[in-house]
Amino acid sequence: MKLFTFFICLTVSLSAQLDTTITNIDNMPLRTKLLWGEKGFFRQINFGPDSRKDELKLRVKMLQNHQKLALTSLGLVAYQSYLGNQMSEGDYSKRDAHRTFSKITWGAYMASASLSYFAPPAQKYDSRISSMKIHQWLSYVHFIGMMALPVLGKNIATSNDYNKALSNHQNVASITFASMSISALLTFLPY
Amino acid sequence: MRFLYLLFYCSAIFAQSPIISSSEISYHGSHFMHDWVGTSTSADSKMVYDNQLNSGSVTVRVRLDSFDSRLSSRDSNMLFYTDAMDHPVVLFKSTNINIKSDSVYIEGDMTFHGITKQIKTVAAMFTQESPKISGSFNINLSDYNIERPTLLFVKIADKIRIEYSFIIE
Repeated sequence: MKLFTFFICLTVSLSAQLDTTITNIDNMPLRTKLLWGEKGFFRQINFGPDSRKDELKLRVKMLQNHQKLALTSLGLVAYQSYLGNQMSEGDYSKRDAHRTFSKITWGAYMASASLSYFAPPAQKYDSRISSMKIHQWLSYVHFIGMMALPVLGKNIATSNDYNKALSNHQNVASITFASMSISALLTFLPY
Repeated sequence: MRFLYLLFYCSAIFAQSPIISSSEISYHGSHFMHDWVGTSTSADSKMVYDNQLNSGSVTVRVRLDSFDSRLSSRDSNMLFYTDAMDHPVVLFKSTNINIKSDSVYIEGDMTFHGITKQIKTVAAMFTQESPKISGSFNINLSDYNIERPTLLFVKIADKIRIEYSFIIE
């Protein structure tokens, strides 16, 4: 009996070796593959932590900060929407604030996006559709929106068709804000 | 009559060197935003019985990466916080098993994150169709020196409920 238990323990300790294999690596998002895949950019330039364990540590830190900055960005985008609506209703006293906050909002958003996009790979992936996967898909929508908004904002002052330029800016801002809000809400879901 | 049947049944399964044909182990975590369940069906379980000593023992070994909570990012986080690269396996070894009526009183040691703690659990025994044993117990992550992950600045609950179910041949 004791000998049997000893062999079980021995088998367990021998098989419990360091495991760094990423489960279902084929389902890793393309952007992560391009940066952190076997032939990814960061691997080529030998950038990043020395061990897989440290990579995961960095990933967790980056994603935690992503959460904080993303919520801050969402608040800033909401405030920008308020300022923008005031301006479109004729209150141009908000113009300087809208301009200043656009830079802060854009900076906070891009920092948050970078923390997510550049984070080292997870330890496990799957092909199922989940709240986090939709969260990632929506990120492409609001990222494109955030890239376009400053250009569309500037276009309002320079365009020959003011109403069309304003409408384009407002529509893209609404889609960006809505997709960011849904992205945030999705993180509350369990699956 | 029922007791005699159970006694006979238990003697029979142990006498035949029982084999755990399938298992399901799940952990139930909670956070103020939501609860979730991670399940593993690939535990390596062994049951032995010594006729002379009239006692049995159970060893259950389950890899942390075999748990699926239906959200790979959460599973990945769990593997990080439980330090699964250095401690990939959770091991339970019974030290005492008593069968009374249709209940199985199990005591044993669970090694998780390199720390061994004593566990006491009572399992229900079902004898219809395929014989099955199932039960649950709670653990605290802090007892195993595991840092709790946070979501939206709030940590997950320290208490984790473990549910298990084994089908015996």
